[in-house]
Amino acid sequence: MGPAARPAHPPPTVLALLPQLLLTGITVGSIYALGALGFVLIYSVTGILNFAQGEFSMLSALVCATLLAWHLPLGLAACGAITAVCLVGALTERLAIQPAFGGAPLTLLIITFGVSMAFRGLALMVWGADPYTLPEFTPGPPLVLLGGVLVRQAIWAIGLSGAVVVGLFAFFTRTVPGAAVRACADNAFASRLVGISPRQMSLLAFTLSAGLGAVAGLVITPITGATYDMGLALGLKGFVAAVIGGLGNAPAAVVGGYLVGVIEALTSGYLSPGYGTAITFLVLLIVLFLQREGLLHGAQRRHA
Amino acid sequence: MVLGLAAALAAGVSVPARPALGQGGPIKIGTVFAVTGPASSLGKPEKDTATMLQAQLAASGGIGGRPVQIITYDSETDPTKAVLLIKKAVSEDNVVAVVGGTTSPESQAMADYAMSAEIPFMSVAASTTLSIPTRAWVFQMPQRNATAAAKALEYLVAVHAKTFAFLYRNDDFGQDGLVALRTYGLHQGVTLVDTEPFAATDTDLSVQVARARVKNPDAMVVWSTPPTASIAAKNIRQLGMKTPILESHGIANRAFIQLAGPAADGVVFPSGKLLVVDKLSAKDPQKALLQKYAKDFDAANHYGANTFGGHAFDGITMLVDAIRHVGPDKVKIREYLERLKGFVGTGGVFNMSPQDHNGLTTNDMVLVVIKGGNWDIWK
Repeated sequence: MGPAARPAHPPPTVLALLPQLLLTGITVGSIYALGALGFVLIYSVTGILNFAQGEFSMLSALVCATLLAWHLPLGLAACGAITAVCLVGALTERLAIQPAFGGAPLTLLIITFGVSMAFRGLALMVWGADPYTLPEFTPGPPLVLLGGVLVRQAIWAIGLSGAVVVGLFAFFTRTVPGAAVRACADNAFASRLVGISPRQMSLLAFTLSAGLGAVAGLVITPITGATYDMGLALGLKGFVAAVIGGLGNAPAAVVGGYLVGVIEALTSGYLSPGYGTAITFLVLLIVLFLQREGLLHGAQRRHA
Repeated sequence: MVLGLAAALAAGVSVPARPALGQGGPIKIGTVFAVTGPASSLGKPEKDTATMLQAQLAASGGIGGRPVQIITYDSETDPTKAVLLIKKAVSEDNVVAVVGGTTSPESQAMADYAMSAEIPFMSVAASTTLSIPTRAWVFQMPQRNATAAAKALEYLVAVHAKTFAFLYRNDDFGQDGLVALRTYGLHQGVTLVDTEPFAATDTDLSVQVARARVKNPDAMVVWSTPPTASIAAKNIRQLGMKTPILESHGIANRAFIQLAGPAADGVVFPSGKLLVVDKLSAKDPQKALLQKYAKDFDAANHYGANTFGGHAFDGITMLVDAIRHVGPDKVKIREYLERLKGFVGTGGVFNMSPQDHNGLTTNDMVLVVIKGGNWDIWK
């Protein structure tokens, strides 16, 4: 195609849209990044892909909304919701995962699917299909950056995803339980020989990641609203982000989350809003084709 | 009794010979609602309305001394289950008619079965295709989506909007609205300048809003239900657009206001009259019925009545009225319903005809505006 066939300048709308698309991509990306972190945490410790991860966020958002309706202050309601969901995470591990511990990865994956469906059904019974919301942590008009707007709550989500990466890094490299978890992930058999119980580590990972999912749910609900079925979409997008990031690596998962968010926003903005999700899954397929070995390698290592 | 009132009103229009109600067991009406599953917030009040009417019918001695049994089934928001249940109701329970089909996909599937089984079916879903084209055995209780769209357009005309952008959930409901608003807009000189689809699971619509903003529309129209309907309103205001926001009848619930927060203020939408019953003029033919339904429902179920339960109410009371006049005979019920005029229900004053099995117009709806977290009639 000759240069003459191309317009000398891009149409003004292309540039006019760009800042907003990027900021929207970052907002949505921060939500995906938080979802991805939960996957990575459990996967790197236990080798399990936990598809109930999104449900932890859903439960905490709905529990918090209920506590607020009982006139508890936001801080107290949030703490209550996070505690409750950590407990749910621990119970999930003890009652659903533990009995099948050491089973094939596929078995465990299907168990987590079952757990997520059970939570969804339970939430539908308790809270119904109506959406709930939570107040913004710092209410106020959105920030204007380069001609686009960024809601204040998105800054909380972005900050949280960063803080969790730093926190996890510190936990894994600076603390004894963290080192134990890593040892378990590297070689469960050898860890047992030195007195680390893989089962205890699995419990710890589930509780932590439930807590992480809970905090994520509280941070994103003021932006998105919360419904009994929000976990599925959250979990799927989080999974895509985690896979694109390589599944075993927290910072990469966060980058994956933002990447998915920005790709979605740009495709929606410049092609058609209907294509956003399709392109995301296309990217996932491409990554899976290219990285299949890496992904399987992780699963088999745990299985051995 | 409400039933008596409805029957009396209808009786004023057509007075057939006293029907032979026959002897034997109770007259059975089947209902299939999505009591559980994703549409449970619609299906539960529908089922609760059926239970309430069953109690009222039992207390008033049924129809012509013969008891009436309303059988309720739960489709779990699954079109396949909905069809199996209507089959069960017709072939095992021997019902004379069926009310139900909470969501449009369920209603479509049930309507197909009703046509083949030749049983009167009162759909409580709003998809325009349920009653256009007209099908012999299918009647539609809610105002069609197309009627709601026509009502919505009255607002655009009233505020002198020349152009509008249309943000819609990319499914049956949103596309129904898109087609209707585009068509009616053309007739009224209001031009659709941008269409932006989104998915029900989308968590942010600022991309769609930013794309629409470039076209500089006089009004933003959103066709969805919460949470996306609320997210759209929030994003429109967050991006600094000051244009009027018009939404669909899908936001006629508290959830929209709670989720959209301050962005809900000033949003206008078409709705059935139940939402603003206390603000209706005393001359409104539906006011007394709506107030009574709301009061009875609240007393029986301890939560507020909504439009969806109202659709079930209309379907069942219309059938009871038909049976009262022509007896429990499927063919006669169908013929009676098809000629029913001036029947006052919660959805409006129904004027059926062989060409129109819905019988409602834009006059049966009001434009509602959200003001300080409450609903009011838009002037």
